[in-house]
Amino acid sequence: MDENVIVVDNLTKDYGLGRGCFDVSFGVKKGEVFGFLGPNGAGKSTTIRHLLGFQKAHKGNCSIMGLDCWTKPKEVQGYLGYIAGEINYPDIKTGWQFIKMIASMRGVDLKEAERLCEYYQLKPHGVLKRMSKGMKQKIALVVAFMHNPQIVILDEPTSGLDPLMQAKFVDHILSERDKGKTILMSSHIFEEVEKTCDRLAIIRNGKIVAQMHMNDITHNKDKQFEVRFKSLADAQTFGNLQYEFVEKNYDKSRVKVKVHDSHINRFVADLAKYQLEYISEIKLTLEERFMEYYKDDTMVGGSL
Amino acid sequence: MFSKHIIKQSISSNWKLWALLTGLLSAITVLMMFSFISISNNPYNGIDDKLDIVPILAQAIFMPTLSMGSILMVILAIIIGNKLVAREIDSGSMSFVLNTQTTRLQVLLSKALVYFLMLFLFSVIVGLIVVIMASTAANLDVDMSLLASIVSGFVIYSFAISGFCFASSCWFNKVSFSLLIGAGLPLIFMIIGTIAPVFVETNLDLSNFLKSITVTTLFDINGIVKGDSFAVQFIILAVIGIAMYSIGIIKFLKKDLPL
Repeated sequence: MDENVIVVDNLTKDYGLGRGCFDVSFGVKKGEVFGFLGPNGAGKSTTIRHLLGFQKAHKGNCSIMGLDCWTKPKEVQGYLGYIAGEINYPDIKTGWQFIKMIASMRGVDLKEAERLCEYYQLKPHGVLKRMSKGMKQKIALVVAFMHNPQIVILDEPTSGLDPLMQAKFVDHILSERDKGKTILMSSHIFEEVEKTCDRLAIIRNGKIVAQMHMNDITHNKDKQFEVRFKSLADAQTFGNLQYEFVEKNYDKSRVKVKVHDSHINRFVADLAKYQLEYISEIKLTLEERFMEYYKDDTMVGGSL
Repeated sequence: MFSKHIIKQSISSNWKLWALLTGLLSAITVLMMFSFISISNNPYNGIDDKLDIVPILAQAIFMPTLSMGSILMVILAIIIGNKLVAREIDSGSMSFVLNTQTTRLQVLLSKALVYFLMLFLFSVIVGLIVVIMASTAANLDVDMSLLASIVSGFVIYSFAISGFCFASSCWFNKVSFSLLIGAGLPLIFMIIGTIAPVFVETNLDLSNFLKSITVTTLFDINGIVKGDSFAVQFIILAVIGIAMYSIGIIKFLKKDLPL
């Protein structure tokens, strides 16, 4: 179960002017939901297009189930379901006709498609061109999952869906994961990623700036503590020690400090010398973590 | 090698335009044939011999320059050529098809087949109308072998022209670029083919130069009517067509798709 079914290895695609993706590497294990976060134009879709075999890398490569995505697209596509970032349909009249065409191209029956239409409360018999963005997105979801693919790659799958449907989507992803499917999903909706993903990578300006387990967001090695001292003098002496302070509020004899787990014993030992009012950990949500990687320029190519 | 679904989908999204333009040219042909029949049946028309209609039809419908047939054929080739590939890439709709196990090559071969068949039928239907209507009239002289040469020449000429549209559609990811080249080249060929003879009477001798850079001169209808040989020109046109389709397909197999 530990084997990576999706491997991206030093993938570089340089579009010039700093656009594209550079030395992107990550792996997704079987049965894992992997989130791929980044703002618009960070290189998420570029990376995903390489996985689908639509683009040829300048350097590095990517493979799915051990098959190179560029040289063996036909075999690779056999494992995949895919939703593109921008959805447009070919010249076909109704949604159902389109679903039927793709099903027959893949040689699968329509049972799963019917079930998914019902699940997402989609009436696919309408004219495709007149469908709203949300309805088009639902059809893409049906088409991506209807052939029970082992691996599903989703580029911003919930854009256009209402909150109720987004919640249904989260449940759907979790149930597919429980069936053993591997899912790679790009997104910039933190809540959705937090609820579904086991692991995630943050990409920025074409480079992976962080990879983490979702558990590490709550069990993050860089923890923030709020410490309040009984006396101002203690707060000030402590404030002069070698720590990474987020905030020093001497009026209230309070400091906020960031401590890495490897320094925690020194931190506790130092604190033991003072009279404390209280100490509490400040939990970071994914959104705060994400913003942290984005606001600070020096973090490029930063920690893992 | 081909995908029947792609063939079906390509036909269903393009047949209306094809039917419209083919119907238009057929209607023009039918009207011309009626007027030939009525002239030939009129005892006072002063024509003693049978009316030799193929050279007239060749001029009006099959001339590679500004004739009814070639104008409609070029419009058909430009619009459908652009729609078949470039538009599906630009809009992104081809991603669904490529996410089945259909390969890029299968997609393109199927589309090229539909494209070629549409242009083939466009010319052949007009030829058949002439043959069928002429068979009902006693006083028309239809040189069948000449008609066959001209219609097959027009098919090969359409194939060469459509090759430029198809290659351009495969080459560019943006519809605007695909149209610029895919429509631009055929139109330039037609315009040069039309103005080139004008320069014959000048001292500049531009005529030969212009003729050498356009494919329209390879389909020399006046020469064929006069009885000149045309096999070599037809082969060159076919080679140009095959080369353009191949260039388009090879480029498409190697390029990055923004899907």
